[in-house]
Amino acid sequence: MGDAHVTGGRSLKSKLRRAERMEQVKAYLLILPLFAFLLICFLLPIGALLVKGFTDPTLSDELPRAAAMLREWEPAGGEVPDEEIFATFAKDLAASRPTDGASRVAKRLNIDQPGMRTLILKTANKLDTVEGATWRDKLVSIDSRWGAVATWSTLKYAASPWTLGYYIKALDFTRDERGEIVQQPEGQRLYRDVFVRTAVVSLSVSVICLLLGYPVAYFLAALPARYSNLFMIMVLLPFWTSILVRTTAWVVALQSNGVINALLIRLGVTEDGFALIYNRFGVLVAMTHILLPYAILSLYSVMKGVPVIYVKAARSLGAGPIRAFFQAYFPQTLPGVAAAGMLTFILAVGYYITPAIVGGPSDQLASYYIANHVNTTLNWGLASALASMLLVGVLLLYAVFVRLTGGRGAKLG
Amino acid sequence: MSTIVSFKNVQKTYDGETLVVKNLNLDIRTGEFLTMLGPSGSGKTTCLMMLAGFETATHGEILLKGKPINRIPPERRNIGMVFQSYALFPHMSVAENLAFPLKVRKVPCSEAGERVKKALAMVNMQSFANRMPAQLSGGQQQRIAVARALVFEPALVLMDEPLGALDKQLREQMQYEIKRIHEESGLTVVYVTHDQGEAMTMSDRIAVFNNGIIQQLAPPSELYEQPENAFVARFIGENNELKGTVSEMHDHGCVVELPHGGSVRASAGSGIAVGSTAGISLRPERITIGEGARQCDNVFHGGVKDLIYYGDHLRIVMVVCGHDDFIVKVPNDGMNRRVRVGDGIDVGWMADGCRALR
Repeated sequence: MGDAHVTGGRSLKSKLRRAERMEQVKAYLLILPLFAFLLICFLLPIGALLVKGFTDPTLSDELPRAAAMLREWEPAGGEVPDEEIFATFAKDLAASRPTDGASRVAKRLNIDQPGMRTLILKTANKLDTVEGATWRDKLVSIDSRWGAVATWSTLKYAASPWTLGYYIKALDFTRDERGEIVQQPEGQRLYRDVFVRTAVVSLSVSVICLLLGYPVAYFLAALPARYSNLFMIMVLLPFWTSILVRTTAWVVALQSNGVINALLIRLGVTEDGFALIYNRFGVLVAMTHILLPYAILSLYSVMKGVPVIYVKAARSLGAGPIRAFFQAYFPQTLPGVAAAGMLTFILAVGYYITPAIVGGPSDQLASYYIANHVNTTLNWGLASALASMLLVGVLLLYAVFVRLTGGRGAKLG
Repeated sequence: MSTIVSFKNVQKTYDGETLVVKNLNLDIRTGEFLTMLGPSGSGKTTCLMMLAGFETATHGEILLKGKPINRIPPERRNIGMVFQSYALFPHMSVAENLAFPLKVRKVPCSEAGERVKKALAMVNMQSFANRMPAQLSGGQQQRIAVARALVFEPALVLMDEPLGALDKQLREQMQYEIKRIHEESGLTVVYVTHDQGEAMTMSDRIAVFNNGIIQQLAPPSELYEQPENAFVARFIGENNELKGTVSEMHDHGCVVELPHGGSVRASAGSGIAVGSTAGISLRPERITIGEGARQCDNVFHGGVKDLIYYGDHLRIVMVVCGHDDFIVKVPNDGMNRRVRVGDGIDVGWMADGCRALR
C-alpha cells in the first residue's frame, strides 16, 4: 500500500510538472517577441556602445606590428624609441596607405593631441622620397616632432586595442608626456562642470516640480472623482503635444520681444525686457513645465491612497489644521514625494532638446555633449564614456534612494 | 443629572434642498452612554460630525457644557473621537500615536509617558507600545484607537461605528471592553451604530434616528417594550405587524379590529384614538402556541407554513389573520418539536405584550 502511495505521489508530481511546463512555455512564448525586440534593438546596441567606451582599435588594426612594439616601449625613461620601432612604424604606415589607413590613424591621434593629423599625413606622403641613413633620421627630417618623446607616448597610449583613455578624458584628466595620469590644466576642464551642472539643473527642476506639483496633486486627490477626472485631463493635456512644440512655445513666450516681455514692458515693469531665455532661467522654466505632469501623477497616485480621515483624527486629538497636515498627512505621502522627485530627476538628467533650444552655452547638460560627440566630432568612445558615467550616476542615486526609502518607496513606474 | 451637550433646533443640509438633520433637539447627560441608532442616511453620523466639529450646523446651536461650539474648530473642543477605520497614524508606533494628543497639548515628556502607559493598561495593550499599527490585528488597532481617544482625558468621547469592521466574536468582546471602560472612567460616550444589538447591550439611552428626526429617545428596555411608533418597533428587534382600525379605547389599552375579522386587545401607543388606523407591534417571543394559547387575551388559529431550526429556539412561520409571514419564536422543547408544517395550531398573546402604534 505504502509503495503504491509513493509511486502514485511521484506520478502525481510529474503530472503536475508536465501540466505546469505547458503553462510556462506559453508564458515564455508570450513575452518572446518583446524580449527579442528589446535584445536586438535595445540591449545589444547599448552593450556595444558601452564596450566602445573601452575599445580603441585604430592603431592596432592599421599599424599592427608597430602598435605591438610600442606597447612594450616605456616612455618613462625619457628616451625616444629605438631604430627598430622607427623602422617598423615607417613600414606599417607605408603599408596602410593603400586602404586609407593612414588618414584613420591621423584622425584618431588628433583627438589625443591636436596637430597629430597633419604630422601623420605629412609623414605618410613623404615616406618614399625622404633621404636619410636611418629611419630615425628620415622621420625627424620630415618633422622634428618625431624626435620628441611626447609624440611617441601619444602613439603608445593609442596602441592598445583596449583603453581607459575615454574615461580619463571624461573625468577631465589627461596623460602627461611620461604617461602619468594628471588633471587637465585649469582652462581645459569641461566635463566635471558639465556633470555638476546636469546634477544642479536636474535637482532644481525636481525640487520646483515637487513644490508646484504637491498642492495640485493634493487638490486633485481631495476632489470627488467626476471633477478630478476633468482636472486630470488638464494635467495630461501637455502630453498630447510633442516636447519640441512645447519647448518652442516657450521660446515664443520668453524671448526678448516675446509675449511675457511685451506685457511687462507695457505694464511699465521694465523698459527693455528681461533676459528670460537662453539662460538658466529659461531652462528651468521649460524643463519644469515639461516634467511637472510626471510629478503630479506620481504624487497623486500615492495621495489617493491616503485617506483624509487621518487629518480629521489629528484634529480631533487637538492638532491645528497646519500641524495635522504636516504630522498626520504629509509623512504618509513621502513615498510619493520620493518617487516624484526621483522620476523627475532621472528624466531631467537625460534632457537634451529643451536645454539645447532654450538654454545658453553654459546651460547645456551632459546629453548635449554626448550627442555632440556622436553626431559632430564622431568620437563615439568619449560619447560612450560620458553616457556610461551618466548611467552609473543615476543607478547609484537610485540605489541610495531605494536604501533610504527602505524599498517601500516608489518602484518607479 | 447635568447636561454636557445639547442640540437646540439643529438643522443640517448638504445641498441646500433636503435636510439631512431636521430640527434636532437632544440633551446628552454627563456620564451617560448614549447611542445614536438608525439606518444609513438617517442623519446620525452627521449629528456626530457636527458635535466633533467636522460639519457645521446650517441652523440652530450645539452647546458643550453650556457654551455654544458652532464656531470652535474641532481641535479646541477637547472631544475624543474613535473612527470606524481606526485612523491610527501608520507612520507612528503605538506609543507615538498615543503620545500625539499629549505632545500637541505640550504635556511634559515624563508625564506623557506615564499617561500613555496608563491608557495602554486600560485597554490591556501594555506590551504593544513599540509596535507599528500595521503589525496589529483589527481588534488590537481598535483598542489602541480607543486608548488614543481617551489618553488626553476628554470629558466626552465620540465613537463612529467603531466596531463595524470587526467580526462578530471580536465585536462582542469589544462591546464589553468599551462598556467596562465607560463604567470605570465615568466618561460621557456618544456612540453611533446601525447595529441594534450593539446599541441594546451597551447603551444607557438610545436615540433612534430616521429621516433626520429622532424617532424615540429612551433606555433600551423602554425602546423594546414600548416603542413610540411603527418605525421604532420595526427597527428594534423582530416584529409582527398587524394592521387594523381602533374600535375601542379604555384605561389599559385599546381594541383593534382586523380587516380579516377578529379583534386584538393591545396596549396603546401615543396618538391612538378610536377610528384611527393602527399597526399592532407584536414580538415573536411573546406568542404562546398550543394549550397555553387559549388562556391569553388574544387567541387566533393559524396554519404552519414553515419551520426554521435555530438550535436553542424554533421559528414557526404561520398564516394568521391573513398575514402569511407571521413569525412565532418558541423555545426548542419537547412539545414544540412536535409541530409540523401544514398543522393548524392555536396562537395567543396577552394584551400588554403587543402595542398599537400609529
